[in-house]
Amino acid sequence: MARLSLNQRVQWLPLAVTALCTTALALLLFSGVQLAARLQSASSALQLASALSSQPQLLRSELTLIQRGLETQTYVGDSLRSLAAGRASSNHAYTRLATAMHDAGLATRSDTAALYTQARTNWQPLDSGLAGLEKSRSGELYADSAGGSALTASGTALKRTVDELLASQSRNTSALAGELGDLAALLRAAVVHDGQSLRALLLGGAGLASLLLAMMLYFALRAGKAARAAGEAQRQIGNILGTVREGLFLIARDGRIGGAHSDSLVALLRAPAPAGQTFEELLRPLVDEKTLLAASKFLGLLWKDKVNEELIESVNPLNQIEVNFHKTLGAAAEQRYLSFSFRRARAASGATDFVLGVVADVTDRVLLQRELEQLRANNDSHSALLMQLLQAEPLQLQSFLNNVEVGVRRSNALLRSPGIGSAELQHKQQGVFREMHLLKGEAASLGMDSFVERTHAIEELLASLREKSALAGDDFVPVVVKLDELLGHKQLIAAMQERVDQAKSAAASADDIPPEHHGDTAVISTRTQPAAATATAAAAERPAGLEQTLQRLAREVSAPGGRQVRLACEGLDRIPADYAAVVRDICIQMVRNAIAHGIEEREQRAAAGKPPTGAIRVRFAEASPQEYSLLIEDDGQGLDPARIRDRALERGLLDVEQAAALNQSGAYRMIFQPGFSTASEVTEHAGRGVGLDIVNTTVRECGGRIGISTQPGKYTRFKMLLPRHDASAPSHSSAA
Amino acid sequence: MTLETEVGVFVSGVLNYFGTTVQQAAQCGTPHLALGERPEMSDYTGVIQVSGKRTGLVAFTAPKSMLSVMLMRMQETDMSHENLCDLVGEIANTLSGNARRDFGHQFQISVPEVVSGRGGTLAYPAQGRPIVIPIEWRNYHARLIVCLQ
Repeated sequence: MARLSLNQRVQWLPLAVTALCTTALALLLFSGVQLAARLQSASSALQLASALSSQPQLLRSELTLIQRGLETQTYVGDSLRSLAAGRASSNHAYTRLATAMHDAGLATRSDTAALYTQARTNWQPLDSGLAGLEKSRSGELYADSAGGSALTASGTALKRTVDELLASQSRNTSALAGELGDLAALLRAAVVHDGQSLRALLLGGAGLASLLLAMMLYFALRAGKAARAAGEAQRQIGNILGTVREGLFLIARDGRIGGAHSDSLVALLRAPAPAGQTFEELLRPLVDEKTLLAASKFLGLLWKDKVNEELIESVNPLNQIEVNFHKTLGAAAEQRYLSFSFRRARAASGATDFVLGVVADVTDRVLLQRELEQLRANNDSHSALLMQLLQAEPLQLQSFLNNVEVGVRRSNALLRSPGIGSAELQHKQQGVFREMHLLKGEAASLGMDSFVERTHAIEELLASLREKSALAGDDFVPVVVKLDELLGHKQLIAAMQERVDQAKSAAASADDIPPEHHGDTAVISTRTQPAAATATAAAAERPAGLEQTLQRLAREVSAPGGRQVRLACEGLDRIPADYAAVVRDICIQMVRNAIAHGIEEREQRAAAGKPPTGAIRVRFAEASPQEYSLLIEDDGQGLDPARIRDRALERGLLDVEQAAALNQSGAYRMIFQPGFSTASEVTEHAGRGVGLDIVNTTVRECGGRIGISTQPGKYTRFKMLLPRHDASAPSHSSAA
Repeated sequence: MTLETEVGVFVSGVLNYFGTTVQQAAQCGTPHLALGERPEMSDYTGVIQVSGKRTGLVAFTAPKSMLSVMLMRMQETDMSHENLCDLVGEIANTLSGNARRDFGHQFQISVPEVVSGRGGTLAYPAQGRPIVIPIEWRNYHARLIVCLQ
């Protein structure tokens, strides 16, 4: 048997006392009832005994009256009837006395029993005598004559009987009266004793009843206190469940959610009535099947008491889950992150009674964590950027950053221009694409990967817009956001560059080097303003810068494809300032194109009997007093008219008839069409079909021409002729 | 939720308003950045301030003539200044409701305010560049301005 705790014993004690009191009171009442019955019988016996004790004297008096009546010949009929009635009454009284004494338990008492027996014994002769007296009266008692009345024979016989009875029972009646008197005294004592016993019982009963009442009051008070405490506890639990932000709930062994749960549970799980549902039913709309299955298995483990709880928690599949709420009447569709934890709620026996589940919305925490990770990543990338900035040539970088600003502004101006028709939107798309492509090319040539990534991402967006059949203005929202981001990035880099320059200046000052040799952040050129004021200084920096840029670009573009390239530059130091930006853009696009589309991979070159390293030549020269020439040549696979035709057909730039009618020169012109590319997949360096389009547009805008010379498998040569601005304005001299 | 998604929610909100309440669809022009200048204000501007995950404002600005025609389409005969203010405020309120519904507790959205007059100014955040989304309806030109930092 389980031992009761002290607290439990304290709780059981009043109950046990109450039960004892109740039992004792019941016993007392029962005894009291019995005692009262006995007392009643004893009282009856006392009355009877008292009445009987005077009866012999009365009978004797009646007999004396009859004797005297007979002597004086007076009427004795009444006395005789009274005597008969007295005898009958006495006999009846003795019988009742015996019964009452028996009921009062006095029949077995020796003294009372002896007195009763003796009295009854003494009564018997008297009773027999009286019976004989009644029998002896057979006729008239008196006979009247002239001499007066005289006793008849019957009267004489009666008188003789009476005289004998008086004589014989004289002593007997006295004894009888004495015995009945003694019996009455004993009975009185018994009544008194029983009365005292009854009073004592009543007092005891009253005491017990008071104790019982006290107990009942105690219980009532305690119950009231417990009820108040329970009510308060219930109110507090209600407050907790209504206030707590976490969703608290209990899972029963059958998997169902208990009726008591926090109010937040409804909002967290968007389940209007979670009580009564199984946990799986609650979870099913929120997670995928795999997670649901894992959660079910996990819950199964919780019911196995032998499995360590801490161990179970470590494999909780719902520790942090992503849930997708569908749009409902009162709430938006959204993605949230919830965290569930579970604890066993044990019964007194130690077995798991319920599983307490706690769910919290950890979306803010998760997002904050991600932001921190993003910040950390940004810091890392800022460090990488800083390294690039330290290595970059300041003037080149400044020029590039200016070009980014210009490119974004031109793109923005294009977007801002009126027109929301499909053709106009496509025109905007193409225009922004060209700007981004130019920037991407320049960024790649400088090794500014962060700009390459950003401009490429915008290109991707624009490429997806190009595929849309019905383009709308709001399709450009992501493009504008990315443009904003690109501009923000440019501002960040500019700020970083400024700090780097300041640091370099400070370092130079510290080394006592004349400051004019450092910190030159003048703009080389921009597409919008050639910066004539700085042309001389810029020209001195530019040729080496452009060749360096192209060499780096060649390395960047050739590395991923496993190609080897040797770039030879010539005459780049003779590019005039007003063509610096144009020639730079053209060279970047053409060199990248030559590597991406012209130069073959090593194996392919080996098979064709070519040296493993491809050769690209860039040459800028004065072709005539009116024109400059820019020649870009590679010893790659050349242009294949048939392949160009096929790609144009695939890309929908030509229909079948046009393709069939396309001659060789037409095929060469096709490569300058927007959207044309022979690359089979889009990479950062090829595939969009924009590079030559840009070159063509740029050359045409300058009033120049492009010529192509190619031999399949041998070489491709682009020759661009650009009009000299100083041909008609000799005062604007070139750097050459 | 990315900025482009958030801007998209506001654009859809305005276009839906025209499609449902005005019962005549509006078209969206190409969005662009307001670079180096504050976006031009029209006669009536409804604006909501946003704080929380991002800070800034969202405004819908439209000429009086456009708002008057909108009221007519909505069976309104009262073209008073107050009613025009109410209309532009209601559009801002719709944007606010959309934002509350779709962004949840990540954003705190202010009560819409109405600025009347082309010379009015809005409290732009210090660093953000406003994105201007032209809204074309019939021959009228309104603008949705989103500047979130």
